[in-house]
Amino acid sequence: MNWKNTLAALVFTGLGFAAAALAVNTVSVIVQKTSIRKDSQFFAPTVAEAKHKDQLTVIEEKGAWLKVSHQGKEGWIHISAVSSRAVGEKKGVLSFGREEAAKVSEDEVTLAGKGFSKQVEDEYKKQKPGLNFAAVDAMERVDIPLPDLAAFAAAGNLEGREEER
Amino acid sequence: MRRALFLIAVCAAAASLLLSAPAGGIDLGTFNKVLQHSDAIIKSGKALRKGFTELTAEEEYYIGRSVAARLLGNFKPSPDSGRNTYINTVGQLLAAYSSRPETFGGYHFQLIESDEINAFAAPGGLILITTGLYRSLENEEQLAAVLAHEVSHVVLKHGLSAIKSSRLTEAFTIIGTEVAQERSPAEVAQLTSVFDGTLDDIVNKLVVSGYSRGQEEEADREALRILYKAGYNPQGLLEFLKVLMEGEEKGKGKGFYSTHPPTEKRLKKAEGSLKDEKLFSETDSVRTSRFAAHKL
Repeated sequence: MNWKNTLAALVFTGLGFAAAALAVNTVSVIVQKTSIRKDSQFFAPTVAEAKHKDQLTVIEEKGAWLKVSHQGKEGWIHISAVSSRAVGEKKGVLSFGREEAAKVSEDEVTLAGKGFSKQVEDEYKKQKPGLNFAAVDAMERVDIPLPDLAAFAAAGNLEGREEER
Repeated sequence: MRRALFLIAVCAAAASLLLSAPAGGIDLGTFNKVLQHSDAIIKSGKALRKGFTELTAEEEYYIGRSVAARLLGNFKPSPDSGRNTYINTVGQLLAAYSSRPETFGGYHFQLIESDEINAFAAPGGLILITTGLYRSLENEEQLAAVLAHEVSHVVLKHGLSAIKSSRLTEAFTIIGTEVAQERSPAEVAQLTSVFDGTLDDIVNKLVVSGYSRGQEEEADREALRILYKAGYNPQGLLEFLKVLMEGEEKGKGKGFYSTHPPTEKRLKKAEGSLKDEKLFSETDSVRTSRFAAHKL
């Protein structure tokens, strides 16, 4: 067998790998940081942290929650933290309909940092000195830890009613 | 996913070339053509984005930051850290029960000094409440109702919906669909100019024209559900709307009243939603006492 035929064989093997890759569902984290939790509840203990652009493997779906695997750990994440091209879809790869293209776009734009981004904000700040970004930064630093939120709820006799949404 | 698409495209192109290849297999020159051909397949599949719903979570965040920075350039943030912590605790708890508990930068709340009764929800979750509004509240259920309502505007992307479609088309055209390359200074300047216009559209909605009545009612419905799921008594929203109605007579045309539709209709709709969805719950006096400790 000459090397040209070997190359052809490799190309077809690639086809096999591609098909396999498609069978695995992965989602991309679209928020700055998020927790992967022991259960499908907001106040369940954290098993791992994930950050923007992390790729997670989807194991299971339950309502608005996904069971995912990340860096060897398994746990639950809310669907609002990940890209929409995820879950339960087995779209044919050659379906270049607008919906599929739009979903591909979100990830690519995010990955490339090409949309309204820090670069645009930095440029904007230079042009408009009257804006109060210091106050915005101060606002963003106020993050009440989840255990404190849970304690506040308990102290106020607030019994959460978690349901599928 | 893009890698998988690329592999499939490579193989599809390879298969089509192999079928037409001379006996003896393919050579490297042809393989190069395969790669270019497959890239073209992917390019032709990409469409420019169109509506505000296609803005990414990260873009929503940067838009929201600048909207808030504009507002905070005009309204002084209250230095009252005790009450700010309190409203952040109630607000972040409520956001956890919404249908979009996670945004790029999360939900954050800030008291701003103004006698007007008003609140502003910047896209992405930066929410401002005037001291005038806070002073009008009678208990924690009503505070939760106001915060749940503002969170709902963020969840439902009502702020983003204000962006003119022509503005979005311009932005999406400049941003394009290509990945990897750095933007030229000219492109950055263009995009920043469109960004400015985007902020104009949103700030105008928040401060001048207000949301539509449909959007207010939608936010009220979502707020009632959030309150119920969090364990609050959704009646708090109805109570707050009644407080507003009393203020409406006194403060016609100013602040809140110029940017919100007549409260009586909102109240009737909200009462209807509460009954239809059976969102009945009790107010616990523990919460009323805790609010009293934070009363302005």
